[in-house]
Amino acid sequence: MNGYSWDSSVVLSSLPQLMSGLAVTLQLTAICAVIGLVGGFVVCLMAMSRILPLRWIAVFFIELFRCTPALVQIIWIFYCVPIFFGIFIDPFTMAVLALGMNITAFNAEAYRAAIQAIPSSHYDACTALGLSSLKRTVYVILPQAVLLAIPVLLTNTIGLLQQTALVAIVAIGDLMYQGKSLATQTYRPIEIYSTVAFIYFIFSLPLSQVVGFCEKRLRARLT
Amino acid sequence: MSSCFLKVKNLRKSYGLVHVLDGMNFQMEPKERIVVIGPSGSGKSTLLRCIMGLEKIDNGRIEFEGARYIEARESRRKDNLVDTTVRAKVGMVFQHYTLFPHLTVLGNLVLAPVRARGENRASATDRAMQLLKRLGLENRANDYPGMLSGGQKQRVAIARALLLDPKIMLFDEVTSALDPELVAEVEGLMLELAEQKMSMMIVTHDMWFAKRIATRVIFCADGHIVEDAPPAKIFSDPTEPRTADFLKKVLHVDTIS
Repeated sequence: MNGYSWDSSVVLSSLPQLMSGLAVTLQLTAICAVIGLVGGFVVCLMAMSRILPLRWIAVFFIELFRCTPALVQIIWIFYCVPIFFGIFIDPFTMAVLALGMNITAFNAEAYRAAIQAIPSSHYDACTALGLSSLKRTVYVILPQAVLLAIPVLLTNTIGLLQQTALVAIVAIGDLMYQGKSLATQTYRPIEIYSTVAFIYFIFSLPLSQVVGFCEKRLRARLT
Repeated sequence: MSSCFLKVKNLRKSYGLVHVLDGMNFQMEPKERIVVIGPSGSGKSTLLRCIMGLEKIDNGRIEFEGARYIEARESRRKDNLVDTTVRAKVGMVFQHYTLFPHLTVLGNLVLAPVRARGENRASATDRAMQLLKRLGLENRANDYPGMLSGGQKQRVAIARALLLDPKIMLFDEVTSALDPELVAEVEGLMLELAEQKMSMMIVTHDMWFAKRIATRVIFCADGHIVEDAPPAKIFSDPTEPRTADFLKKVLHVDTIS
């Protein structure tokens, strides 16, 4: 390896600190994933609502978060929100807010695409069966849409796990942040960042396997 | 108001500039089995969809058992009256099954009785299982539609409509999407319903089946009813040259025997 002498002892000695960072990363991912699943559903319903102002708000929200980089969103929420609105909350909550809103916007789109993928003939069948539009939505359209959306929702969640690394820039002690500070303390960035990358990979891989499995199962059931 | 079973009066429906139904009139008695034939774009499916209340009509009126069911007037285009109590007596089966894939066969069957009619789940399940048994599908009750063959799906779709006790059943090209070897089981079920004197309106391209099941055949073209006659008459000795021409094209012979 180009004469670089790899020092495994650095990896071992930095593991405890990396693990404490990993705990923050996983916590952040889990909380934001739940926010995204529920929030995305609500925003999607708003975006498809017949009430125009609701729809405008939802569409504006979605486009705002889809059309700006997540890194910019995080920095903006950290530095501008306190100044503009006088809101001061702890950094972890700020990070949850930023990442949670980001994934909410992307999940809302996933739900919307799934709802639109349901053939119009199902709406006809519901009418023929005498189901009102509310019952049609609750018992036929939404359950199918959630099933159809699962692969994309999971993919978004994997993306979220990677994206949490961005909060390191605003000094939240996640995996990436701990890696960064260990790298400067030990002067061993190669060992540290390789380990950090490996940890992200190990936690994302099973999730992406689950996506593949779900896609196969759903394709078998929904066709 | 006359008290005939189904009465379609001056029914008009257009999509943009195309008049799909251009003033259709006919009446139907109970226990009749009307097969609607005609070239594609002649308005056959649209007619059934209008009777089911799936399409907004531009003008005309549909009466069912003497009651006003669907009505619209050209002058008030948005004023489209559909009586949902009457609609509950009409059942429809579609070309592409439209079973709900997230529900089991049994779930598909009991959904409307339980959720739309307020029947309790136990009694709906009971009726559904009896019906499935009659169709020889009771062992598929807990399967998802994705696991069934096309013929089984379509028979489940028919069962789903029957469970709501319709007074008339509309069949819109229900065998068109099926593999040829699966058509017989679906047509067999429809013939069974015919024996039980179910009133039906059927759109099909299968002339042999039409001849077998129909008590009356309506030939449509350009949104009009061109000929309306018993199957024996229309298939062997059509009055209208357009009917004869159409049948010649679809059958590649002059008549069917």
